[in-house]
Amino acid sequence: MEPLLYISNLEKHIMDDFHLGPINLHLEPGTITALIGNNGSGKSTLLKTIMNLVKPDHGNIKIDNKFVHGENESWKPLVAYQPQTIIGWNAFTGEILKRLIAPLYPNWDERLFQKMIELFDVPLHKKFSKLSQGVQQKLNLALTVPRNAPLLILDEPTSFMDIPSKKLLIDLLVDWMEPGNRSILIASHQIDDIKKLSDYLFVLHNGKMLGHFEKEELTSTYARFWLNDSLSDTSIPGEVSREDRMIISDNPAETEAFLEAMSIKWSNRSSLELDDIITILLNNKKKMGGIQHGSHVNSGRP
Amino acid sequence: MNNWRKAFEITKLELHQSIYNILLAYLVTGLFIAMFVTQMPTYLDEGTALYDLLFLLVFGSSPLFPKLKSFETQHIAHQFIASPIVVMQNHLAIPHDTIVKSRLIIHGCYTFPAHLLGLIILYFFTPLVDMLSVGSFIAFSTIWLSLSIFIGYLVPRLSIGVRGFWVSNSGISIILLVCCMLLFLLIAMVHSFSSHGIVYWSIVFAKDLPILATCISIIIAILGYVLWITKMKKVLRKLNYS
Repeated sequence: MEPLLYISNLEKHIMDDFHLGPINLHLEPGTITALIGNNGSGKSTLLKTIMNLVKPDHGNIKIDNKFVHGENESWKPLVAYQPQTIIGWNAFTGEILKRLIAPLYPNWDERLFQKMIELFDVPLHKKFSKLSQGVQQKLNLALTVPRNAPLLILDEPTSFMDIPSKKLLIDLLVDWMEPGNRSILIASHQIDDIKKLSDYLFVLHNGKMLGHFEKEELTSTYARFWLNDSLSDTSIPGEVSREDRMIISDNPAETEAFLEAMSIKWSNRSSLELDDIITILLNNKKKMGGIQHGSHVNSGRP
Repeated sequence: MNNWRKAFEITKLELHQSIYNILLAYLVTGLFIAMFVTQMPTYLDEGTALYDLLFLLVFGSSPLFPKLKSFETQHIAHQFIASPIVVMQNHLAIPHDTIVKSRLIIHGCYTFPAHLLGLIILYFFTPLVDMLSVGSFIAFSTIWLSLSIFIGYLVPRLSIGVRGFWVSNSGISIILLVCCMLLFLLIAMVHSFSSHGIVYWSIVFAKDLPILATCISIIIAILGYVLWITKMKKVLRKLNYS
C-alpha cells in the first residue's frame, strides 16, 4: 500500500544548537501514529516541516505521492493541520472562521462541525480572542477535523481541554477513522491520548529519531522482573534498568533464559505500562534498531 | 484569474473586519490631501522641502497606517516579523499565489481609492487645474500611483514575512534612521540643485512630456508589480514560519 505520508532522510538545522533528523517515517492509511518526545525534541518542527512551514535542509516529504517542498501545491487540501499555537484567528468569530476554512476543503463535513460545536459547547458568535484557551482549542479542533483531509495532523490537541472533552474527542477521532483511508499524526504528551488512540509511536529525542514502534509490539517487548535476592554486578541480557531487586528488560525471553540458566529466582514478572516504556526510551535514549513495524492495525481501537 | 477570485474570497472576511481601519486610513490620507491643497500655491512659489517629504510619505508608505492588531505586520517570533493572517493562511489549503494576491487586494483597498480621490481633489482645488491639461493630469496621477506600487508594495511584502537581524528592534531602528537620512538627502539635493522640489518636477514632467511620463510610470508600475510579486512568492517558498 502507498504511504499517505512519506518522509525520507529529513534533516533540518535550526539556529546553532538544534538539529532535527535524519528522520524516516512512512504513514499508511488507516493508522494513527503518536509523535512523542521530550520537550524541545522537535515534534512541532517536524509537523511544520511536513506542512512546508519549515523548509528542510535535506530529504524529501511526500503526501499522497506529491512532493511537499516543490512548486506543486496540490497536496495542501490533503492535509488538515491543527497547530499548537494559533496565530491570526483573534479578530474572527468561529462562524467567520468556518466561512473562511470550509470552502478550502472539498470534503468539508458540515454535520461533523455542527456536532463538535454542540458537543464542546463552543460559542460561534464570540471573537476567538475572547474565548478561553480550552474553548479556543475546541474550536480549533472543530475547524480542523471536519476538513476530512486524508491526513490529519494534530499538535498537542488536548493540552488545555477538560477531561470530559478529551474523552469526547478521542471517541470522535475513533469514529473519524472508520472509513479506513485516513491517517492521523498526533503530537502529544498526554499518555491517555497515546494509549487510547495510537497504533504506532514515533519517538524523538533532542531531534534524533529513536524509533517507529508498533504500540502493542512495543508493550510486549518490555517486562519487569522482581528477583528474590539482590544481584551483584552481573550483567543480564536485555536489562535496561535496575533498582535493587527489580530489573526491567527489553528482551524478556532472553532475560528469563539467562536467569534460569544462572539459577536466579524471581518472584514475579509483569508487563510495563506504556508511560513507563516511553520514560525508559527517552531516559536511555535507547536506539531500538529503527522502524519496528508489526502488522498494520486498521481496527480494534478502543 | 481564478486565483484572483479565490484571493478576493479569502480577503472579503478580512476586509469586513478591517472596515473601520480602512476608513481611518482614508481619513488620515484626506487630512494630508487637505494640507496639500492649501499649501500647493505656496509650494509652487517657494518649494518647501517638507511638502515633498509628506507627499512621498503619503504616496509611498501611507498603507503603514495602523491596521487591526490581528492583521498588522508584527513580531511573531524572535527576529521574525509577518502578518498573523499570512501565518494563518499558510496553515490552510491556500496556494502561495492566492496568499500574495490577497495581500495586494488588501493593500489596494487601503491605498488606491484614497490616493486616486486625493489626486483628483488636488487637481480641481489647486492651481494645477490651470497648469495641467486633463492628459497631463493623468500623467501626473500615473507618476504618483506608480510610486504607490513601486515603493508601497513593500508593505504587503513585509506582511509575507521577514526573518533576521534587520527586523529585530535594533535592526528596524537602524533601517528607519538610514532611510530617513537618505530621503532627506535626496530631497535636499533636488532642492539645492534645482531650486524646486520633487512634486514640482513631477508636475513639469507631466505637463511637458505627458506621454513619456505616463509610459515610464506604467513601466515602473509593472516592473514594481512583477518584482514584488516574484519576491513575495519566493519568500513564501523559502521562509521558515516557526
